[in-house]
Amino acid sequence: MEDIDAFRLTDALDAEQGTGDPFAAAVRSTRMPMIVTDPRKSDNPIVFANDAFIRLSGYSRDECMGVNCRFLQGPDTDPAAIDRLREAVAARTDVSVEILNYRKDGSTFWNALYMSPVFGHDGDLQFFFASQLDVTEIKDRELKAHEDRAFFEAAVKERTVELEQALEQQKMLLHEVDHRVKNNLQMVSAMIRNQARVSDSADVKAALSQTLSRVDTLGVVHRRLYEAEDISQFDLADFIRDLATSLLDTSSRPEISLDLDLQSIETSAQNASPIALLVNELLTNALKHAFPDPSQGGTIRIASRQDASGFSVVIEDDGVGLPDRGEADAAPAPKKPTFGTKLVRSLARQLRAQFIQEPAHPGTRSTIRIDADKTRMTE
Amino acid sequence: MTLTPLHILIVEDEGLIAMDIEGIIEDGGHVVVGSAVCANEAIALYDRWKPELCIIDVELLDGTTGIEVAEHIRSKGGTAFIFLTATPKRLHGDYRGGIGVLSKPFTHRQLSSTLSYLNEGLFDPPPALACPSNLNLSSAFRHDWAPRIA
Repeated sequence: MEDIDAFRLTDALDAEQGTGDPFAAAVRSTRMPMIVTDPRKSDNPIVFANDAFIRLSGYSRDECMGVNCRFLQGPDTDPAAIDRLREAVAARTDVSVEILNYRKDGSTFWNALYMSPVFGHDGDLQFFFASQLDVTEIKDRELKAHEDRAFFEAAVKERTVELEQALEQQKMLLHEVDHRVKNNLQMVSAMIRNQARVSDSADVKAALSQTLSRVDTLGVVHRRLYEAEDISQFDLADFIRDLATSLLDTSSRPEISLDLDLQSIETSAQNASPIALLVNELLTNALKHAFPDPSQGGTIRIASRQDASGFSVVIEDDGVGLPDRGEADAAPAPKKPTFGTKLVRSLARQLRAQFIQEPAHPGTRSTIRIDADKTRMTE
Repeated sequence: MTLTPLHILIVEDEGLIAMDIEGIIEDGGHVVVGSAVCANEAIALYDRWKPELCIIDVELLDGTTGIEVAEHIRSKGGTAFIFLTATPKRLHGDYRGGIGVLSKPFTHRQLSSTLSYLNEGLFDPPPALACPSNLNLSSAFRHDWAPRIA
């Protein structure tokens, strides 16, 4: 009882007159809302509230005094924050929480509450002292920042999902197109082969077989491109090795041998088909015309080189040489140029390639040279 | 040595391609026992003719797939089949217990050398011929048919 009397005495103090306890006067008149509660009384009631607390809460001093301060809590007060206060009171420790409190008029404010126990000389708990600070504006800014961040994060997430879906769809479309192209190439090959199979004419069979070889070449290029990790690049050396081996196998000319000296050449996907067709023509020509005598074989040498300014492919045979050959002749032939010759010239033009065919003594040498900057122009 | 020709079932929905496969099989001296365009037809023909080899496309008519055909063959204890498809990557699971997969587009040479290779592998394993470049063997067959090096 003595303590309450002391507080009542403090209430009665006139700070401006400088009488009484100057600390109590300071507590009474500070702008920081403060209360004192008495844990030794039932339900730990408020035994002192300063003017700033009265202003903040909107309750009169009579309404505050003698009651537990839970009247500041309301429906949206976080139960976890209340638990922390309750635990601190039970454990007689200090605590700092930000808690949503309610004024008398029902409006809310964010309260940065600091509460600490006050012990007597003999160590017994006498009071709890609590200071309050209205941090509604700071809290609102925090909440707003949090909401903004959540909003932007959600927007980014949504966009990411959209992009991933678009990528997935693009992959699916690419896969579908790849499948269709392969099937269509297979159908074109099948059509030509079926036609050749029923033909009685050796000339027709030969022409169809040559066409088939060109279509098959496109098929191999397509397969290699789509099986590669990077479908924008094409390794010409690997392709030439496959093509040359397979053409020689199919030619049934065991007396002709291959000498492959291939350096890796990366070329763009766009150039892959015309170069592949060009190499196919030149190789087929060499196989067909360089060694007309079935009893006499020879060697077809293929070399590929890449340097800073571009790359070249050289196809050289040690066969009978140019004068006896009709196809792919660089010099203007007196007779009508064959389809093969026209195709080679047209492909070289498309590739902006230099194409030279010359006597190799013995045999014939064909050189395809593509400059890097010219390749880029075609891309 | 000369091996007995293979009796082969073709499972391919694209008529033109089926015709071509048939031609290549016959060019190689083998025998076509039947040609199916959907899984049900293929299963019925398989049960009737017990072919020594099945060449199976993946996407078939009526929404059926070659995978159903492969599973039927496996359920009867058979493994002598290869897939012939433009999308070999879709065939995970070690080619469903079959020999392997030949990618489309294939050339005459690739299919005919595959047939010769399979003929040796099935009737006189391991095959003496080299595995054709376009044929991918399942790991089981890659192991069983590995060239025997002394």
